[in-house]
Amino acid sequence: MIQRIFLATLILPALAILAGRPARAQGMGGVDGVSAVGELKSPTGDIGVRLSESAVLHAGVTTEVGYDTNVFYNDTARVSSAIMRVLSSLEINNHARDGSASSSVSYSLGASLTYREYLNDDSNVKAQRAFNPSVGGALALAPSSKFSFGLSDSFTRTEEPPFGPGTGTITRSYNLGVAQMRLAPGGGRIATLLRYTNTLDYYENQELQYASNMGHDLMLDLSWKWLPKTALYLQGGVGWVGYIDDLRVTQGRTDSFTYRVLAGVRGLITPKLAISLGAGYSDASYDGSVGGPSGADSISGAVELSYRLGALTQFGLGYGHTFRNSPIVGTFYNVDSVYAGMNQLIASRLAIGLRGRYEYRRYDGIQSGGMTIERTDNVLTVGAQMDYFIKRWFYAGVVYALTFNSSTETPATATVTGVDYAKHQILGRVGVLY
Amino acid sequence: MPRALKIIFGATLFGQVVFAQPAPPPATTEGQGAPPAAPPPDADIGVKQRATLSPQDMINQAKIYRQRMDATQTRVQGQVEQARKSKDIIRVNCLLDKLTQIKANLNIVDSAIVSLQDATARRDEGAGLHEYTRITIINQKVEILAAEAEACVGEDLTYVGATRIDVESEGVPPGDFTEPGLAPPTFDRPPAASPTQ
Repeated sequence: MIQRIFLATLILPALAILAGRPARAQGMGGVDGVSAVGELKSPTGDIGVRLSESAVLHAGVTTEVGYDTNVFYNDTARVSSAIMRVLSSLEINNHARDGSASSSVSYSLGASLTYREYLNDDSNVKAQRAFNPSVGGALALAPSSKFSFGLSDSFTRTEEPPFGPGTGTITRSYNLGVAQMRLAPGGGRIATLLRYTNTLDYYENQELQYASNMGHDLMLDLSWKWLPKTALYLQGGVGWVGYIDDLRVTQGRTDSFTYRVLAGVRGLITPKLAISLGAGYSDASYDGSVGGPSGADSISGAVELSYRLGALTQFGLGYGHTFRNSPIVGTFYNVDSVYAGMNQLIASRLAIGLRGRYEYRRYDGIQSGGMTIERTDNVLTVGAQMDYFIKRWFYAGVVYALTFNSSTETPATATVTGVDYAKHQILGRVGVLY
Repeated sequence: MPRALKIIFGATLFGQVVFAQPAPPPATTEGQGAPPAAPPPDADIGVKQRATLSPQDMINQAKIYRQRMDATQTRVQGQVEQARKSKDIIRVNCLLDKLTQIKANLNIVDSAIVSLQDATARRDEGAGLHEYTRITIINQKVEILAAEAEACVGEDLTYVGATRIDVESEGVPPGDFTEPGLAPPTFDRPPAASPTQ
């Protein structure tokens, strides 16, 4: 029971990668700032319907009811409402009961659907009813052998409220495909990983279509285990982001070529403390006369610490500095991010998770009325969840999420609305996952 | 009482007491110092000369045995396939040996059933009983072969395999912590922007 619940709570990021979901895995207890709200637990443990000797079918339904303090992410026109969501999922995989992947061929196919309904009479609010589907699959061949190969893909379509009260939605389709192969000859002290990542970010609504883009990224990672659980690594990568809509020209979208080199250390530094530390150089070249990162902005680095106090308690803390392409505002932004997370299991039944992420974004390439605008955003996301497992497959709990943004422009243009907001969501939920 | 009558009366009384005493132990051919042999345990050494089943019952029972043997053959066949999938050649060979013997016994049973049916048709009770006895014995042999097939072991017990050294340090959690993670996706809410931004 302890293992089952804890796995369901803690190993979500790793399993999400196997299922092709966009999440992050960083060794022991990777943390991220993803909001806890809306996440379905990953199926692990002695549950599921066995379809064949190896295939197991998992299904889950969670109903959440609560309150949203700022439906349209806009402090100047704040609208609050009661909210209800139904999250359903279906997954077939051949993982072991403890969630570990098979040693020869591991696969996972899953689909989920989130239904959102605002319990409000306001027509603008009611129009935010949405069905957000997601499908994904992953295949790993010989994941623990000297040569391994993996494929995964996930597709998500979301409808989000607009930047101000209105009946429209921000409708977006996002696809993430990853193919990778790993070679670790001999005893596995030296490993080579080659990974290709493809992303498609497509906006369906007219006002954001110009930002639709496709990204390609090729990464080569060489690592040397100088200790059994610790490796030094050298990583290089090249990427390309191209805008795919005809409106890209009028909106000044320019394709970009990115490259980076990173070196560092990953692994355990004590039996309970894991580290991921890396620093290097990254840059981007934009088409035309558009400038990319320069000077200190080209220095990128990240450090992440994960501490496992015991089998039931886990903490994580991280910091990163880099730049990201910005499809909607300007051309790119430099970002410093700090994030932390904690997971705790109490009395084999009560699972608690906390996570938060703060990002300081500095946009570049914003032009308005012939002037160069400097814009900085402070983005904060906080998530908390507490679930009590009444049965191994039945749980009830509460979730809380905060999404906060504070933006400043110099000189101030006052033409943008919806950049400053604080949105709280608190929901109670009951769910089954078998 | 006349003397003759007294003698007859006394002989009648004491004579019965003498005959009621336990019999003396049988004389042994061993030395005088040897202890007397223990009495043999009770054992049923009788042989049933006639089956308690009617000829039709024997045919029905023989068919049941045949079906069981068929199921046993299918089960062992499945074990062979499973061993082949796992490329466990040692177990495959062991199972194939048992399967071959089971198939041979099935052929014998098939002919015995035909003979049993013929004997029943001829009302030849002796021949029918003989065939039925054969079928029973073969059924037992197949069951033994099935048990032996279950006990077939594979490489994991008999083949040591390539040398591999796993170093385990006390307190160090299992798993690989040196794998690079996926880059965090930027699938967050798009920022608000003016048309000129």
